Amino acid sequence: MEKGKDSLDDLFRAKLHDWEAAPSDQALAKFRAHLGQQTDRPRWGIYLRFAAVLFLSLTGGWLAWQVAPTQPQAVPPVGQVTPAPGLAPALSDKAALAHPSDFSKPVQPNEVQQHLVSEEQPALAVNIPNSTAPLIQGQSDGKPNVTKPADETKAGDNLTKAETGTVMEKRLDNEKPDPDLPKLATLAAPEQAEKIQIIIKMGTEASSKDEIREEQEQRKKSRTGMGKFLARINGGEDTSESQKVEIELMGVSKDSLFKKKDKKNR
Amino acid sequence: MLRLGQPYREEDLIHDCLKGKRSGQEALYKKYSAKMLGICLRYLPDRTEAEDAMVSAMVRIFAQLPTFRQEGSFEGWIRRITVNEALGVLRRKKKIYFEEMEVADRQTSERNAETNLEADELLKMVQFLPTGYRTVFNLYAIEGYSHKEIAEMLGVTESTSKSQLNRARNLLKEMIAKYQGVSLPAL
Repeated sequence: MEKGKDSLDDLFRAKLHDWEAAPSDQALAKFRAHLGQQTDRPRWGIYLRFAAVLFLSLTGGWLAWQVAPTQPQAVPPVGQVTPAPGLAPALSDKAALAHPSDFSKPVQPNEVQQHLVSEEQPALAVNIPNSTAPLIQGQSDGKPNVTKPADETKAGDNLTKAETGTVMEKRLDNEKPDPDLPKLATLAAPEQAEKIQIIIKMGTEASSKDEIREEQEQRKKSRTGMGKFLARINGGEDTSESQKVEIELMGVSKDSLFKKKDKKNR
Repeated sequence: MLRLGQPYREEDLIHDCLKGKRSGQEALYKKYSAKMLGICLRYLPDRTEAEDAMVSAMVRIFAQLPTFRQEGSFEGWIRRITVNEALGVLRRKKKIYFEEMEVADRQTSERNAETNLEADELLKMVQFLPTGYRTVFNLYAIEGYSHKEIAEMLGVTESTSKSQLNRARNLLKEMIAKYQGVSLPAL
């Protein structure tokens, strides 16, 4: 009996133990799919590690940049900013204007702001000969070729109005009118020549500091009702000086015009 | 190391698979997949199930390859993993049940044992067996496990394993006798 059983077992063992069956293509595809999943995991791991290292290096660099001992500059608090010497008045003016109390009282047209009327504006009148001289010299294509002098760009950048006025006055003391200007006036057209001569006169007349001041005082004294009227119209700003300058530039006699209107007003 | 025109040496195959080389893994599949599928088909008659089990066993082999000690046979190690994978499929699908069939324990003649049956025909006979009979017969008669090992693997007693084996043998004898047209002698 055991012999028969052994023979049966041997028969099946001999035939089936090493029996092989060819797998289908589907099995191979499944196997490759499993392999792909297995091989993808390490790749993703590599990518994740690379991203983590990159992130950490960037973060570390940023932190090192933040923590690194830079030379500490004495930066005052925001409320205690001290402006540059030349900008100090301007900043104070802006701060004063920014205050709400300045906007609470709107300026009425009939009000004359005394601080603006009484303020001296010497720079405007004094600037004329200096600004016109280079304009005429470089007027080749109809456009003014104004070039600032080197001293002016250096000295006048960070100065207030009052300081610029004093600087300009000092410069007028040192400068003299260009002797070539009369020649240019003679070469120009008759109408333009008259204007140029007036300008040259003004330039020569305003060459001295005392004369300028005297002229300003005279202009203040001779400020007529027309000037006050224009000041009222302009909201209190006395623009009579600039208008006078424009009138002078146009070559119209200022005294006769204002005197007639003063008579009419009276 | 892959040598053109020469088969993979087993050591190189294992070495490349351990390194995770795709060429080594595919060479291992080509070398052992047919044999592994033959094992799976003895336990799982359905070919699709058998192929799935073979692929799962192959993946498990790659996963457990670092634990392989090169003292024993690599093929034997692969066979054990494949058998366990097939049994795992049966266990998961609860296909292992041990039928109690009234099969006469008949004496088979030497002539029957010497029949010139082909492997495909014998495989069909094994696949025709009930799952419990087939599993115990495969493990004991073909794989060479003892009843104790079979009892531990299947979670049954040794007597159950023995009875299942005895009934499997008797059924196979009847099948062989019917196939050859030989009437079995009555006891």
